[in-house]
Amino acid sequence: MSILLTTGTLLAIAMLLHFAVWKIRRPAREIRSLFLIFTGVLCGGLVVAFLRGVTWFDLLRTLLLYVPTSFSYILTYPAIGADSPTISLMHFLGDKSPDGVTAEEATEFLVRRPFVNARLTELLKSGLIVEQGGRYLIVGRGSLAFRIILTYRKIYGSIPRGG
Amino acid sequence: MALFQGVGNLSYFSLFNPIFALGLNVFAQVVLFRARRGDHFVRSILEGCFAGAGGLVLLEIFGDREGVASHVVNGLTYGALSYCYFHLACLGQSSIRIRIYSEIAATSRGLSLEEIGQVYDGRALAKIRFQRLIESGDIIERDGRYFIGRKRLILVANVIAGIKRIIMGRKSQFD
Repeated sequence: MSILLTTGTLLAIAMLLHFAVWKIRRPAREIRSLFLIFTGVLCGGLVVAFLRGVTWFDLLRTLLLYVPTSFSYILTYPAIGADSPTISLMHFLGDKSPDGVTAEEATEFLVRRPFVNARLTELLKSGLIVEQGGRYLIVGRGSLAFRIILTYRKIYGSIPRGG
Repeated sequence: MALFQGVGNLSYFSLFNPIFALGLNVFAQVVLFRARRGDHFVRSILEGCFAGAGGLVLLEIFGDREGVASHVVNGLTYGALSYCYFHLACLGQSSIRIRIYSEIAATSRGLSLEEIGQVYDGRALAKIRFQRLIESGDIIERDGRYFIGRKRLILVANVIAGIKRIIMGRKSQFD
């Protein structure tokens, strides 16, 4: 039970810090800021654990629960910050029920929303790409996280282009 | 073995039950998805999750004698790990951001906005997403009009909208 309480406390502290920082000023690099907050809270927790003489077993157990739970929120966050075409479409259908919509109305709804431009802007803001002379280029060697995801995706087979 | 002795009846091996279960989850999901030749992605995710959960239950039953709290911790850890895996798989499947990034990374000259727009045209995106929702049963067609089929994505949409209002102060990024 102490593992649950400890992990819950650490997560609550991280979330409170997250809300406080976002209220003061939303960071330009949101995902990186979230990583820093959750890692910072974890490091603080580790220091307290060492000072209190917590066993390695309990420490590992807390880490194994805290890290994936933190990642769960950080991975969910882009869906909160940026509108998903699929979720937006479902909202639209929900608002139009019980009359329903035609295929053209659904298409127009999605076309009116600048999903692609919004994603480009986010990639620019996060420093992953840069615009030079009207062309978008990868910054440096590229994002390790994106390369991992794309490499893993190859296990499934080819990815259809276009959405 | 003393090297792996943890606390009381528990060995360090028992800490990794959720990770072994995740391995089973991933294996089952990939095999099922490939066996169906790329169809029913969400179903394969759910089936993989249940396979992993089943593995975890067996490990907990036949493994170290733990208290209820330990089982709960392992269950929650597996749940969080499975959720992370679900996101990893979905990001590769349908994230526009990652796809645009991969298109740009594929060329040394980069891409212009027009070139990106040719691949990720709004209408093409709408058509693909619409089709995916129809195939999964989340949207149904009746007399030429489309309606919500399964309510699961509506629930997700409402939860995300609620969290957006709390954190961002608005329902949509385009508001």
